[in-house]
Amino acid sequence: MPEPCALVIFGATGDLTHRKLVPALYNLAAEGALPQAVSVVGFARRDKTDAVFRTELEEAARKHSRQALDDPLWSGFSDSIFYHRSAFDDTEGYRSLARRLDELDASRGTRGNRLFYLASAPDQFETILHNLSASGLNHSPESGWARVIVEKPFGTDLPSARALNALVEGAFPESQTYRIDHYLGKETAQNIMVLRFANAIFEHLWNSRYIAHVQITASEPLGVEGRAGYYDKSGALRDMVQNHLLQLLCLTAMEPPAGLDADSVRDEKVKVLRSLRPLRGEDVTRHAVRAQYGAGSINGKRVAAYRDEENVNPESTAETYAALQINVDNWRWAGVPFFLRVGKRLPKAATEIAIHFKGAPPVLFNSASQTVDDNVLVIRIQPDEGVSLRMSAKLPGAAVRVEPVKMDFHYGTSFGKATPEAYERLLLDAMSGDATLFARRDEVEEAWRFIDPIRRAWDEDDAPLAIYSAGSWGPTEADDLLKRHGAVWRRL
Amino acid sequence: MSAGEQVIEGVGLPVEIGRIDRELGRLWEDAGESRTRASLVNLVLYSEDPEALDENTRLVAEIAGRHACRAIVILAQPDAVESRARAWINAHCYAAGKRQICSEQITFHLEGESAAALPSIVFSHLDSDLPLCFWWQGLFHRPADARLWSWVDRALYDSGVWEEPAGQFEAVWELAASGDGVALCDLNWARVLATRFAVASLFDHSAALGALRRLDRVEIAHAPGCRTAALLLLGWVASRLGWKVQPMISSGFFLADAGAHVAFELTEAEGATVSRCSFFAGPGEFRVERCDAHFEATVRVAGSDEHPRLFGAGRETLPELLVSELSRGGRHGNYRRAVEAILPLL
Repeated sequence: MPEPCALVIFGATGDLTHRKLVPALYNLAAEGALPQAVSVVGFARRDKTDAVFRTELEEAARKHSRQALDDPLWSGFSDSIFYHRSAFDDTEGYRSLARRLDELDASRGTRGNRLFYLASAPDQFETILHNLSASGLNHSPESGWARVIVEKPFGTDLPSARALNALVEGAFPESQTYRIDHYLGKETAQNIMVLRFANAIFEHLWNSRYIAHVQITASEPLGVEGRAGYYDKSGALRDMVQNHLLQLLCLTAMEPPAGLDADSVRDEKVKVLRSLRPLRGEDVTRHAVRAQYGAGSINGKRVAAYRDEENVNPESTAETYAALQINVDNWRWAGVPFFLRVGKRLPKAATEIAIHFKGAPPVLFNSASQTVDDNVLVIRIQPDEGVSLRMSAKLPGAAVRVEPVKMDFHYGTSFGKATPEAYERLLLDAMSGDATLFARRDEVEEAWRFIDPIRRAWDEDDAPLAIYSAGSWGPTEADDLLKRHGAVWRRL
Repeated sequence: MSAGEQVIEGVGLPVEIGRIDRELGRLWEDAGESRTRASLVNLVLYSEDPEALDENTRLVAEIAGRHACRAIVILAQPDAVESRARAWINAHCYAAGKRQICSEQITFHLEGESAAALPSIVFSHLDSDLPLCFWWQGLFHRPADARLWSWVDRALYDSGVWEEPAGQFEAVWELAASGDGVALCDLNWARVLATRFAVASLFDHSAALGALRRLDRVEIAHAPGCRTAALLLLGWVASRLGWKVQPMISSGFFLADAGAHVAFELTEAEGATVSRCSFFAGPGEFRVERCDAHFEATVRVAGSDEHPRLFGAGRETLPELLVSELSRGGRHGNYRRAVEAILPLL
């Protein structure tokens, strides 16, 4: 159970607060995981009362909470929600926030603990951080703590990430800074370490001797869905690969940490990022594919091409699909390619890591006359979190015929309840002071160091962008990445 | 309510297409531990005949207990004026001790333009890592959709329902070329499996084996509408023995390796798909005849007594044929050669 605290959300009227943060807080409260005294203060420019704010949040929570709202429970929880009206650049607004937080310390027992959540647009971070420092809110007035949660994007390249990190560090020490990558809060992402280091059978096989290649996929049928302004500048590489996919790669490839504390785990992840073979110049053409979706159909409905989406530049070259071959140049992974792909308007929503093991020796059942499929261990991050193992089995009957079968573990059915949302775990950890599932400064910067040359090469490339039909699994160029290794993308 | 809607009502719970996985997950979470989802294969049944939807649902229910699968039943009506895509989910459960083993069925009705979304609909709802068997019921379209067939492990079809098999076989070769490594599984080929087994057994005896190279006439009696099955049987024999059909000559014979003519005759007779199959080598006759659930194989050659032997004839119902195909694995090594041997006769 974390200590009582006041959680101040900057950008409280935004989508993130309504769809994710407040439903997550309600679920935590409903499960008794939050101390009664925890208080939520929404900080935003629009004029509204506590009561109006609570009503809006209730409506959103009814729609987005993973468990149905229980009226008495919501009523109790909503008493802990407050609204503080101020512009982000109004210094007086911060001074009055400080007074209000002091009052909450006294009236609700939040003990001087403050957790500031930067859920606003990134271009407001500097103003907010500056004003938090100027008003002294970056320090607890008592013997408590003051922490900050920073939402991605953590910059748009290495120089901007460094500048942002310097800015955050000017207000809060690294130990009190929580950079949120919500993928790391998902149960299955957390389970990667358990699977690897709590089951002796896997770790022995987890290396280049037994693994042929690894595929990490994050696919979604959605288009830009109202994020065109941001996405058109960002593209899939910055939006997904730099953070989520590289984090999953790190969890898959890292060495066993010395302990389960935040820095031991993050030290190992940083080592992986430093081992990534840089992609530069010609390497980018050979090992990276970008594409954009054209018109097509999703779930039986016609959908428009990316360039025809609302608020998208009709000549946009933003990639909605990216596929990379990444090599991790260390002892464990030498010669094992990691294939990453991410895309919008693909047929299915799926995020998973697939470990493709090397084939059985080419004798007996895996000979010229009959081949067997290689073993694949799949860690499904979302949806339908779980783990499956593909293996070969003999079909019943007199003849020896071998077909692939699947051993499948589903969180949902095995544990009989919906798994917590990522934000529930992450908010709880930030309140508890556990930064294990948050990105450290050097992790973010190392990830950008790898991504920047790819981005630059793509920006300088004037070859026409590959187009794939919405509802397909991406461009054929991405298939060629794997073909060179005698592999194909998994059929999800 | 129209007849069509009544048919569709029987296929399960209506769901939004975008929520199918979530609703299936909920189905199993609600079922608790008493029911277990099982699947060995993704089985897609595609038809453009509205009446097939009900029939396919019954078929899936019938085979699910013997071959657990994720079934995707698709009714496409590309000519419909209105473009609409609807979906239903269903589960077919069978008792296995204290538990129930269940197969999932997802049903789609694609009308108008939405029928063109077939590949994306299929790709979106597969159980990953399991083979994909795609039963295309009815006639193949040309050109083959390479995007679709490149994903299919086993292409199922029934040449027995084709009215113009020659063009359809061409379409099958086309899809086989576009689908990298797709195994062709003709249910009509499965239909004559037991007959082929019985025919092969005719020549097991050393006294009969020598006659194989001297065969000069073949007679096959087949049920009305089953000519293609009879031809597949004939094509199998011809391809195994190296006979070449002579398309320039009106009809009626093959040319064997040594230049000998082999006449053949296909006749219609009520009864099983193939009710009789006789091979002649001079005065000798090698005959397989259907008797109820068996084949009786008889060899009549000079200097040898008749030795009628009985063989199980198998069952020719669609569920049986389908289960036998799903349980089989591997490729049908002789099938394509058999078809090519009789293509000019189709």
